[in-house]
Amino acid sequence: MAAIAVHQFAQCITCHAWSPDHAMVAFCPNNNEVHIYKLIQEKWEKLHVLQKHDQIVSGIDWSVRSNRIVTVSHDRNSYVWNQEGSEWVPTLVILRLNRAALCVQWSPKENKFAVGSGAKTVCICYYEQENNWWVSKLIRKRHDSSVTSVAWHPNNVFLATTSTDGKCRVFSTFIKGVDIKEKKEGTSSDTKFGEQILQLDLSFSWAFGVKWSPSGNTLAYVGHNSMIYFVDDVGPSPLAQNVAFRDLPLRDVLFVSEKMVIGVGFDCNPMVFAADETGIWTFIKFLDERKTSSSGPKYGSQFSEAFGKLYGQSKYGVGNDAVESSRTRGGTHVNCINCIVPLREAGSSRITRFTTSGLDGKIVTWDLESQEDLLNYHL
Amino acid sequence: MAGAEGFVEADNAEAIIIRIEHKSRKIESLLKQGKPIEALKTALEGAPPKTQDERCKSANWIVVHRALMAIKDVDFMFSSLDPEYYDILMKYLYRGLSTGDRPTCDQCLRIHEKLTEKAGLGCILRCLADTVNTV
Amino acid sequence: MSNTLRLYLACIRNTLDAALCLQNFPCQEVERHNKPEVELKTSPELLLNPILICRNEAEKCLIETSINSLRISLKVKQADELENILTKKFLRFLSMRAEAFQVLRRKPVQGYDISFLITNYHCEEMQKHKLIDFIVQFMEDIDKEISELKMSVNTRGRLVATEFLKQFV
Repeated sequence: MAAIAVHQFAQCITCHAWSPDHAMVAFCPNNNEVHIYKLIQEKWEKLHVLQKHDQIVSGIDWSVRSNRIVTVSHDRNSYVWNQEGSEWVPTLVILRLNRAALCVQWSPKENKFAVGSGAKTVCICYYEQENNWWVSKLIRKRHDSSVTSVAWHPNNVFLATTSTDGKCRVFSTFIKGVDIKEKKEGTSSDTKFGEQILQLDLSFSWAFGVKWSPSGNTLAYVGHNSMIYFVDDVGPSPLAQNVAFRDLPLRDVLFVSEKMVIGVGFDCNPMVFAADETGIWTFIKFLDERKTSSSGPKYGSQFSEAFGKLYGQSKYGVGNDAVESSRTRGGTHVNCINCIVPLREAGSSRITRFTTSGLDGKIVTWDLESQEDLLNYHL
Repeated sequence: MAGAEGFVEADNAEAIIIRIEHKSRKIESLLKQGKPIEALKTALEGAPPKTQDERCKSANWIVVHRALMAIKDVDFMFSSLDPEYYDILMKYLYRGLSTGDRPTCDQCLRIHEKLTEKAGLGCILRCLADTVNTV
Repeated sequence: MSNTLRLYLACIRNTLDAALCLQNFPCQEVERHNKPEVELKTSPELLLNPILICRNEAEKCLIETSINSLRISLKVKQADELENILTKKFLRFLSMRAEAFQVLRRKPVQGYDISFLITNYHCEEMQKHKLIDFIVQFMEDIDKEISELKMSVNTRGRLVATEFLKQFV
């Protein structure tokens, strides 16, 4: 079994992030709070509740080296949380956005973070030592719709974005005084802040969940048309592949190695994609075993009850054998999975464990070690 | 210049219509030879026409409709229809379902069920989500 | 259930299953708002192709999808004037009690008898397959309900007529 731990934390989880040592998890229970839990003697205990936002928290990222949490919310604000003693102290970051913030990620060096927004823009935030203040710098080039996800290239300068206009873009985010110029010839001239390096117009529908491979050579993102896109050689002449699959669309992806990607989404079951020796990507399998049992009447039955009441009799209560009922999806997760986070082991570039969270309020830990058929792709 | 572009588009539309007429004749002869699946494949090829011109779209729909209605054995059809045709077939099925014509709807509903079995919900999503290449 | 009805409902079920992939999505036009995009229709890029599924000229179903909401509108078969009146009265009765059904829209979309509005919040609270089952069950029952109502109206009519005519015997 690929799922090694399942815990129901809330009714519904919008996003989650792990502490550097993986002992604590921060998540948003689909409201304006962020809860931090710690595993103490085999039991998850709530340690902190971060309350500062006044609308739903849409993104959380926990930096590995500096141990800082950044949160963004539909209330247009962002906070950076520092642990001081046993308390988490927030610092407001003025994003200068006039619409909701939708996603956030720390840069690899953790000196910047990027925020995608419903204002169709991306902000790059960095810390100004002299003012003791986080500064937000806007990428001027407008997206044609909301920015749904952002991903940092390992070089700490390139940022990939996806948007509901269906496009995936790569920008340079070089900030003088924060980033140091690479000594490579030829590349220095085109790394002005906010410059668009690439625009990929592969999807006819909303794009989500962009990620870079560990080396930064490949880019993957998904479309709402049940497609996943892989782009090699990101630059002037990119090589793009699209893989259509027969199931419901994905929301987020994760590279576990250069050649293997896990996609999660509306099908409630992580999908494995891998590239063969020639670099052709294909769908390999579902990670979870499919359950075909029909679930108990936990939710939803209120309809038939309400119906029955209106009719005076509960003639709508019992299932009619003429009606085939829809199959339930998934097994471990029972609703859309919208977040996948790696559990990176120190000093290893390879990812064998990761966690997923979704609208069913569970956080599930998955282990690829036991999946022998995937070992070929996973070195 | 907008005027010039409009002219090119109209010109292009004429060319497409001529191509569709040609396709239509080919389909008729295939149907006469008792090859409805070949006819359907021919109809779906080059579809949807790469234009926003409604006349071209309707013309192509008439051709596809003709081939679609000639299909008798749906299971047999799927045994010889390659998966690359699935997405475009799904779009035309939804076009057929929107007509409200009883025989067309019955036929499209029959094929729709089998196609969903074969091609999955992803195929429906590609049809729903592709707002650019509509049929 | 007749075969064409079964196929019609199966088609709607599959289409809904594919279309009901909704997510929380804040408004792009008004700050700090979160509204069903399918109702606002202010950002065309957030809408998918509307799908019309007909069984025949009289019975059809319109499915409109957006990033955070879906609207499904039904036109119910009305063979004669009596069925027309019964359908109108019955569906009005339901619409007046829309809050009891959560997903029922208070007013049907123009040209249709009844509409449902499903948002991402419904998908968070309820299981998706139950929602779909509810809609399909509703479609199936509405026909039965109307013909039952029609029958009882006719029976009563006959009874009243018989009673009335008795005095002349």
